[in-house]
Amino acid sequence: MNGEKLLRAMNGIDEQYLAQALEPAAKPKTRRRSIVAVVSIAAAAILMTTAVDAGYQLTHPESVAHWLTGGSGQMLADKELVLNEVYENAHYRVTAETLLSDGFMADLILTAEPLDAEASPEMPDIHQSRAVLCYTDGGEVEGSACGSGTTALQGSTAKQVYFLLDRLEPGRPTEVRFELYSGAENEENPLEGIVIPVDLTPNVETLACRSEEDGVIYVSPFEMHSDTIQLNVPLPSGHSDIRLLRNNGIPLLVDYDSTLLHGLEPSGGWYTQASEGRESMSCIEFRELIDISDFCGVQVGDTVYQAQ
Amino acid sequence: MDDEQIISLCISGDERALAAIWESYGGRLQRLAMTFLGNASDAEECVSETYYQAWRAIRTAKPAHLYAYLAKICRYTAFGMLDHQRAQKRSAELVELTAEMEQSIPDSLPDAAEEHLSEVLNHFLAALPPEKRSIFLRRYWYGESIAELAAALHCKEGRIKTLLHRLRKSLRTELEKEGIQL
Repeated sequence: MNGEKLLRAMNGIDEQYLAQALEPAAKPKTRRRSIVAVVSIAAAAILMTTAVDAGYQLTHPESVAHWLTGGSGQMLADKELVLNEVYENAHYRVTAETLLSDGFMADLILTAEPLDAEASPEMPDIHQSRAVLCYTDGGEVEGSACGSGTTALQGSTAKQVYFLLDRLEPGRPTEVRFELYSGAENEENPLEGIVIPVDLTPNVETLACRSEEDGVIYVSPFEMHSDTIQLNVPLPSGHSDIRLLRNNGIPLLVDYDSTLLHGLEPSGGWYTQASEGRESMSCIEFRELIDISDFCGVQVGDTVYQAQ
Repeated sequence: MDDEQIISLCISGDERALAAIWESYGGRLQRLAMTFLGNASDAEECVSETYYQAWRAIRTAKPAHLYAYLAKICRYTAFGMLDHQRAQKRSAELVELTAEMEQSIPDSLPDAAEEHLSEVLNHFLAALPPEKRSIFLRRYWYGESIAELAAALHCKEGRIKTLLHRLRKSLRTELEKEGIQL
């Protein structure tokens, strides 16, 4: 009966949410048409250039800093992981800032900005035009939209699109498309026609750390994950029991407390139970990139996982 | 006839509004009522009561979105009818939805008033991206099936299930944070 009480309490939900929730259901065909439009226009009208003179410096370092803090931007430059690829339609430009893939997850950071006076002074946001990762040979990458976010920087017309993708299929070509958000039937898609190829081939190393009981934790510059143990993401009010072991002997505590001298702040984490032929999986995403050559293992509680 | 015209007819007391509501939304309301009540005759009674309540109330409070407004009345009415049918078997759909929502309920926390719970739910929904909010509400408010959601959103049922699982987990965290037990 408790679940029913919760269902009853939902009667008090704000009516505007109820109305918004119906929009995709009411107009499913609109969404499909807009995707077709994106593909067809992409073939004819897209200009793609590479900003050759930008070298390994980020075009919009503030975009990257919004998602990956600390020395992450500099690390991307040092490791030659800056993309600086530019894709445009008549009114907007999207810069692919960086793409990190460790074969399991990927971080993709894009910046969208208006090119001329006709473009809206307010950049389109995720309510109107959402970025979707699709397989080039058809179909949306499962779960990709769940990990995307759009945000505006204060005092700037540019907006960032951030993808955090999990359970990749690195061998299968993908691309980011921008489609109208479901239900925006009478709106124009300002980013229509912009299609960004995404190569998910791993471009960063992963450290495999193993315990004596054969538990394995994988650590890459931007995340750690395991299919053998549940990595409990420490809550802001709780105490973390996850430490990344450094070669210099000073462990890095994975904790939401950003004031820690030797701490690494997560940007999020998740755990999925085994289902439908899939193993259980847990993951913690980092807010700051780490250089995994500085690390020799992971400690969770009293269990040590040594890098192989 | 569009929603604005139907609402205008209601406000002016024109009974053609009832036929227009039935034509536009009768099927969906019947299905929503069936989700909670489990049999066609109760659902029909619930929908009839919804028309009557809407007909009376719409003149004093013009709704921004007609179907959401009608569905809300329908849902209230359905739960009211359930209160009178306690001894009877609940619908299979309601049992399924109830079981899923119970995964969001934390243990060992103080009891909560329904109004406070609604506030917390609104707060939880406000923090969600529109797509996730829509999926949550279409499942747990409008009672749509996983298959229907997957078809409407052009994705696999597995993705919907995974997303709902994560949303229930997030809701549980939110309820725990607010110290709520049901």
